[in-house]
Amino acid sequence: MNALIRSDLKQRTRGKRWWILLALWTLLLLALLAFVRSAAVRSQQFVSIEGQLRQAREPVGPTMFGSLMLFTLILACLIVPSLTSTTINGERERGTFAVLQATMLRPWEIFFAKFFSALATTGAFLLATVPLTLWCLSEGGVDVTRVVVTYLILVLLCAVLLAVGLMTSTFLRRPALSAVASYGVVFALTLGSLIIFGLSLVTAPTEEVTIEVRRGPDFTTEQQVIGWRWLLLAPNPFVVLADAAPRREVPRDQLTFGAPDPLAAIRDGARAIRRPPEMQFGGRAEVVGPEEEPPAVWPAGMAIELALALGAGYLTIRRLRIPAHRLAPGQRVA
Amino acid sequence: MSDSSTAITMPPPPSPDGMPAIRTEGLGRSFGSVHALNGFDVSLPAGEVCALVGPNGSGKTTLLLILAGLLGPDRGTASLGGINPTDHPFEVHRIVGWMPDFFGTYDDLTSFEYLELFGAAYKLPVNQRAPRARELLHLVGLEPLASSPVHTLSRGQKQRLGFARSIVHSPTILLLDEPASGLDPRARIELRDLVRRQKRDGVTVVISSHILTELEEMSDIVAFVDRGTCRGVYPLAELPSTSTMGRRYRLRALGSVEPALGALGCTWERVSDERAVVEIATEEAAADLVAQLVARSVRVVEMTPIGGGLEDAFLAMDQGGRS
Ligand SMILES: Nc1ncnc2c1ncn2[C@@H]1O[C@H](COP(=O)(O)OP(=O)(O)O)[C@@H](O)[C@H]1O
Ligand SMILES: [Mg+2]
Repeated sequence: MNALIRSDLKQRTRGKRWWILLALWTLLLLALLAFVRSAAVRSQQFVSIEGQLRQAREPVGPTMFGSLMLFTLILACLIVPSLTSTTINGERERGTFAVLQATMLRPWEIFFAKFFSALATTGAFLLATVPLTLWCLSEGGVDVTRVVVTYLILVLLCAVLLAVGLMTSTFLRRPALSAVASYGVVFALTLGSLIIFGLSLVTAPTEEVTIEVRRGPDFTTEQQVIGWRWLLLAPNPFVVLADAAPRREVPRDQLTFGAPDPLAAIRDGARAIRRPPEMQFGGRAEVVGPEEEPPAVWPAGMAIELALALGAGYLTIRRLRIPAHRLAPGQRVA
Repeated sequence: MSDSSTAITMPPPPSPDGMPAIRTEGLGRSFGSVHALNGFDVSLPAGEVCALVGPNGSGKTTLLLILAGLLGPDRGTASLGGINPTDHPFEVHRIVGWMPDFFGTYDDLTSFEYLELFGAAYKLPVNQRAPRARELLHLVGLEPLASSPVHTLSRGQKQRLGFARSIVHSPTILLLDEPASGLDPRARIELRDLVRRQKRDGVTVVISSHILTELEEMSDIVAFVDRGTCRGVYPLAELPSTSTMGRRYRLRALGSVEPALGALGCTWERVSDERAVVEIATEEAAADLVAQLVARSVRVVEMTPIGGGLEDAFLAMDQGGRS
């Protein structure tokens, strides 16, 4: 299996194309990060310091790092599926797969060899972002735990996409079709989960709740009961990534004037939907806010993602078993 | 098994001494409405080179896929060296080498790396992979191309690399699917030598083709395949065509052949003044005819059988089957 991984990697990286893609990826992220930095520095609020109005100088690290991770995830959603979504049917089409199956390699070995070689390729892309992360660290405000956890989540999310790609390339005979299918899954997880969550709110019942107001009388209003529907948004990779990334600890009562941290913003938004209806009202500043942070969304989201990956892996390995009894329409073994 | 409706009488299949290397019983496989195999029974003796001969679409590839443990049959059983490929595909892979009719290669690898990879895939010990790859490149004569990318190889060279790949793990049974198709005569001779060498090493070789003459020079026995069934297994030497069947010969002489042929009263067809096609029952009769022609001062320059023995036997069988 190691030999198969090695030869697979050798083939993936021998061409010039791969290096060009890697360079483009890095340059694009670098440009975006530089842009984010200048915007973050400039967008700091003006505060009165020793009687004079000056721009705040809070560390821009969190803004930069959060943006970097989101951009990386966006680009990964575009690139990672292509690493496996034509692997098996591509080999079948080129006539290299049947001879591989005729060896002593078990189906699970073939699956994991393809999986790990693609994961290593993904790893190279993520590794290319490490210098950019070091830049974020040097700007301050980001701690290393946060970085490590975020990268770990990124790797897991990419692994899910790789497993799904392998599945589509095993079950669908045409590479073009399996590529479309695996990008379809990416779409469903990202935009799709958002759209479906939004649509599901239409069917959500409403409930009359009493809102406590700090100064003045309480009032009652209709609020939606989101209930279980938060689960529809949970597998969204951006939600999982943002919610799982440890938050920068800022004391509750301390005001911040720096640029926003995009990961924290997504995280707050995502967690808010788990609040009970009486805590949902956020219209007025005097409303007594929720004391406790609502429970995390990401464990459920990650569980759904991992279940997807395991399911894809299981089905793929089962489909690769020999001798084959059922073939995809028009598929020949050799 | 021999089909009794066959027009010509064929000798009974040889009784295999000892256990057959390959045996199938009632093997059936359909793809949708196409019955690729239809109760295929065959038993092939160990240590021989067996030609699997049948027209396109007769089920040869399907049979070899089932024997190689890659495709599951709908009905029937197969066994190679006593192992059922459907139940124990990986045990069969240990002793069986398979070369498909069409296969690709990883273009970014060199010939050496390609064989090394398959050494690993067949789980050869790590320290044996490189030596085995070198040995095989030497065997198939690709040593000078060891470090060239596979996509620079010609079709014949690729075919030899594929052959080397199929024997990486020193199998005792070798399944070759149309290995000679598209090869020039020289490449075919090289292939024949490789196959013969495997036989010398005690390997049982099954080799398929729809071009019958292509296998005549490398096989010991012939199994005829027609519409998903086996129509008989015959030792090549006993094939009816070469001894008992009527054959056509191309005759050419310096000067006219007509008067002599007319006088001798045999069945013939005029092609031109100097050329004719003669129908002769046996090889003996053919030799006699040449002697008589020479005795009549016909200056014979050519007397060649048309079509190979296999071809004739096959056509006869085919017509027998259809009638
Ligand atoms: N995977 C497949 N799907 C559909 N039909 C197939 C498949 N494999 C073989 N066939 C059909 O089965 C028949 C036998 O094919 P094959 O075994 O390839 O014959 P041969 O190798 O003798 O030319 C043909 O009619 C072929 O079209
Ligand atoms: Mg074929």
